[in-house]
Amino acid sequence: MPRISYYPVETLRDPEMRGYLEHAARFGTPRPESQAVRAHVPAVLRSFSRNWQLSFREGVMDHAIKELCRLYVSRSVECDYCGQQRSLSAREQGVGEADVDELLEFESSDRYDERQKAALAYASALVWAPHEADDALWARLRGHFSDDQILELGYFVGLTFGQQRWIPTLDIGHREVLDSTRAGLAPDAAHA
Amino acid sequence: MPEPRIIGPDGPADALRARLPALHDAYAETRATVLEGGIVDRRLKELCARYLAEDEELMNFERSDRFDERERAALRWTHAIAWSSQDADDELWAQLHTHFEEPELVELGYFIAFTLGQQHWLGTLGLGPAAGGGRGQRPG
Repeated sequence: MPRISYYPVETLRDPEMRGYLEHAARFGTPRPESQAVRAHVPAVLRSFSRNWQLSFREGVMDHAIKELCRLYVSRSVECDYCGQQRSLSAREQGVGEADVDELLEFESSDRYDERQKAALAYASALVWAPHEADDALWARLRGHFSDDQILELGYFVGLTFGQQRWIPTLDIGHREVLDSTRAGLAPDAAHA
Repeated sequence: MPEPRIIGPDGPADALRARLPALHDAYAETRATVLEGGIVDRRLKELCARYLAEDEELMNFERSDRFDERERAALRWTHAIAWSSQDADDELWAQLHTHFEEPELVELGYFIAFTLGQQHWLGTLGLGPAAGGGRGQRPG
């Protein structure tokens, strides 16, 4: 049972708020359960949805790299609810299940290219030791990305990191809201 | 006396956000409606933000008589979110539901999570309180 009740999303009348839930049901990342908690406060649902849309789905940084960083955070901080979700767009761009398995060992893995590794190293520093983002890491990042791409990546990783620390305290689970969809679930979670 | 401004507006950070205008606008709205505005009083949010920033006055809040039970419950949840999610157990949730309505819990939890993420991001840029250290041991 969730620690905070799911807002009865079928009673939402505001088209914007309904739109956020319908999008979650159709595409996932985020799935409807976390959005149904946020829906208790329209300003919170709007804030998260807008920041997420702009920093994750849109923006100047490759979406597939942001998805890898999102899943690195999931594995790293052990947010199972988030880690069982997959971006459909990133999947279309080539991010597969095998790419998820070696995320915690990304530096030694030959599955990721240097561009992906630089972004993952930045995500790791942001989550675990922001002071490790030193001159060497910044030089590594600037070898592959523009400053605006790095800023957007950092803003996004910060956003998903915070949410992935909050969500495990809520005890929410998949297919508990708008259960007609399995959109955006990892294969294991979709077939559970 | 002006209120402490842990949350912002913070010049260098806003200047960086301004390089990404759409995100800057989304952040500005979040600041107005959730971080500084909203239904939970701002002083309590400031307290949680200071705890995330490891303000020495707050790190021993459990042994201090300066905080009431509502503030203690909020700080315990802040600790659980930032460092130890398993601490958000039945006892803590009973305390939280005693002192807060559900919309207040959503806003406060989101505030803590959002602020935590911003502090870490700004820390990688050499700005803000998270520049000096991390929150545990990375796996792998």
